[in-house]
Amino acid sequence: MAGQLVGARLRARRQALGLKQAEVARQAGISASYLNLIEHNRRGIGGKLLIDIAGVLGLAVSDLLESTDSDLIRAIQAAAAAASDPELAAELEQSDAFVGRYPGWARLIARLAAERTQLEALVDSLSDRLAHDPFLSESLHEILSSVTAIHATADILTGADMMEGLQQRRFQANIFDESARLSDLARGLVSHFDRQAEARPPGTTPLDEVEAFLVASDYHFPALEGGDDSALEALMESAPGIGSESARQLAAALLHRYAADCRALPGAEFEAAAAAADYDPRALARSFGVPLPTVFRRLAFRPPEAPAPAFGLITCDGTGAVLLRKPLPGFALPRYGSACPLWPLYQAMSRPHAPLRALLRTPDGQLFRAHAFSAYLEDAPVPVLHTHMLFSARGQGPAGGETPGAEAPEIAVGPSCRICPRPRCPARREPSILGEEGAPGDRALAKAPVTGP
Amino acid sequence: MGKHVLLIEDEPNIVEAITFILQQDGWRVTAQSDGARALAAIAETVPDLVILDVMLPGRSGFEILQDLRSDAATRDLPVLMLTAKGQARDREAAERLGASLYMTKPFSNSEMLEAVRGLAP
Repeated sequence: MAGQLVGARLRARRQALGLKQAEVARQAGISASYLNLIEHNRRGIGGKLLIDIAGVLGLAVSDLLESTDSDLIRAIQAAAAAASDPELAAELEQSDAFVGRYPGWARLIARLAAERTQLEALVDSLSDRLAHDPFLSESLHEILSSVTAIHATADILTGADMMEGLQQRRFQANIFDESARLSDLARGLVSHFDRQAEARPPGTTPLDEVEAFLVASDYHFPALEGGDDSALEALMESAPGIGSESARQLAAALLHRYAADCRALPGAEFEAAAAAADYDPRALARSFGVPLPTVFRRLAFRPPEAPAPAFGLITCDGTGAVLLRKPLPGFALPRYGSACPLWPLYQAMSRPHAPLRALLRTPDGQLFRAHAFSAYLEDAPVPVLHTHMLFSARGQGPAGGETPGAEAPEIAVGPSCRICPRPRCPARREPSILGEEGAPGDRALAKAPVTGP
Repeated sequence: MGKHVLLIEDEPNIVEAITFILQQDGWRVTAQSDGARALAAIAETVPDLVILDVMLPGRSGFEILQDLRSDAATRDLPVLMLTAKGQARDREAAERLGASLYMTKPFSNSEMLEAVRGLAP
């Protein structure tokens, strides 16, 4: 079960406030008997009615939903977006009710949708490989040439009644040679595909494998916390989910950088300094004299049992391709790009080396502190830009650099345009399948742009 | 002596098979395995027909065809293009560059004979 259903939470909140069903129902514009059905989870609730009742009870919608519920709702909305079914679009308002009543079915839909996305990515990569893999292209050409030679020569031998013995033997030898060549080509292709298949689980890219490795490791590697690379080999040998050579290389580079970050920011000292600095990444970067991305990574890769706040992190390159992602409950991150253009992650790209911070309000009313920073890699022979966004849920733990009167401006953001209900968003790149009814956060929307330090 | 076909193809067993088929049908066949040598041979003696493979070492068959069509002496020379690729864009490229006919591998010997007879009657 995903947790308590929304109806039960409404009832608990109403009773805690000492309010009668009739009063709450009247303010929300429904009958008391209908509210009773909702509270006892015999009727679903979602969309505007949920927002209205939450408002009557002084709650944000997110307060009624467990963060896992929010993630599951977003997942099934994303699945509906991918299906592009107009009938589904009409039912999307009931997504939260559906999750509340049928969490098992909702999890199944989310899982199937995620598998479909992975398979589509695999098909794309295979198609691309056939078009651009030089080994495959060359092999196919040679196979066709060999088959042509065999076919033409066999045709000659079949039809030639009076052929000189020497010529006949020459053609027979040609067929033999081409057959041997064809066998070698077939063996080469089988080996080529066998290597690929053994190396990587189906439906995954090297980045997917690395991400699976990070998730399985809780984004934390105690063996490397001493800053010693010697444990790296052992980690790589036992790395769950790492099969292909490409993924192995990416994971090794990531772990080397992890160990380097640990040397620059030793665990206990960093944790103490972070708590003293209210987990303000810029203050920590100044204090330790390290680049901001190093602090971002150390905060994001803290032990799971570390005190709040928990940090999420996303890193992308100059094309927006995601290089590293650590989502948080309530703040989903795209796998392959196409996120909300208003994230400070993308604003930072146009202002390299200028840290940005913002408060991000999601459509369900949750607030997240975000720090974004873009920088050119120091050791690259050509300009290579990497951009990072660190984020944490506001209300969890200290203020993260915010001081009264100097809070970061609030920006209404979404997960992705396709499933974002924000009305009249100037950054929208495609219509939302949810329509544009407005979200609770829009009532507190600040118009100020993201500011620097 | 029959009409002269120049075969530009780098696969020796294919060359041998096509040469045998055409010679049996009364054609005189010469062969070159790369485009540069083929263009030099054509500059000396223009054949009655060229059979040109697309995938050649060095310059591709399309580039050779382009050179032939840009030379007044070979602008109207019948050219039968052979390729292992059956994609539409290769067919379109061959037509655009002025190939007389386009044939994909593997081909049947009878198709080859029929094409050659049709291009250089």
